[in-house]
Amino acid sequence: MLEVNSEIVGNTLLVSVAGELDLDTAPRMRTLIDARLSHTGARHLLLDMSGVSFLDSSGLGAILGRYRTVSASGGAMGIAGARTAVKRVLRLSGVSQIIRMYTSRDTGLKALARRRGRQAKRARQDRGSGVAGDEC
Amino acid sequence: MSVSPLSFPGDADNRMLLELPARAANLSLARASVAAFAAQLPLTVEDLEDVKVAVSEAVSNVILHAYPHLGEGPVRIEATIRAGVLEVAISDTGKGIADVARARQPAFTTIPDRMGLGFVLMENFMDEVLVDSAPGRGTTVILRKTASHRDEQGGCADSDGSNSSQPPV
Repeated sequence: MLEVNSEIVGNTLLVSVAGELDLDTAPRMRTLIDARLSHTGARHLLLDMSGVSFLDSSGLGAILGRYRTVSASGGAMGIAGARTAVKRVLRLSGVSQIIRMYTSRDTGLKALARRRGRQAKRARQDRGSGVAGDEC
Repeated sequence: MSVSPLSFPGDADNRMLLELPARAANLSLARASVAAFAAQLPLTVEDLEDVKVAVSEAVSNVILHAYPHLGEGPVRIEATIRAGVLEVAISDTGKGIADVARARQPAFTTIPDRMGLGFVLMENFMDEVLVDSAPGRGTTVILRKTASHRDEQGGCADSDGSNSSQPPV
């Protein structure tokens, strides 16, 4: 079971995910986020994972895919509120080194609101050197 | 593989047998069932989370790879507790793996857009991962975890604590 809710906060699409993220549910999260990103034109993406109780490699793939989408258009992505078990999977996979982790959605939103031109520059550099997470 | 009444639970302290259609909607059921079974051992909450991820990865592999032409086939999950060790055998009767060593490499995947992390997570979260497979003969993945050795390591839960989150920039 997975619940996905989203809202726009300034420049950022805030997506709250609750439930289990796996091969069954990850495609739905991907579709919903991609649709909201293109409808709203939001620049940044913050994934509030405080309600996620389970994450495996299928969920990781969907998360990293959204990072690539957002980075490609010069935006930044963050993950907020991941629980211990979820954080371990994010860390072990190396995803927490690619996507910035925040303890709460508020710190995440504030940090993303401050990242504008700088992020676009970094995304270009990442693409240029092929660092955008391909090794995962 | 059939189980005779006499061999059940055999030499094991407890045994669970679960056979399901290999479909994504059954993943949650599969890992929750194994975790509930494993909870009879003195495993930590973290250990049980590890088992859930490993089972999810192994069953996901069956769903994604085993039955490319049928669309769906069976996945068989046999869990045993024997002398404080949890063993979970996840089997299919599908196409099998031609090169197991290659399939277990980090980032190896045959499906674009997937990360090739399934075996990496299984190996990191379990004490032992064995793979028995041959083309056309199906695959069995055996996951093992021993109870309560984690307690001696300590610090594991601490290192996942608040210091893990990078400060906002």
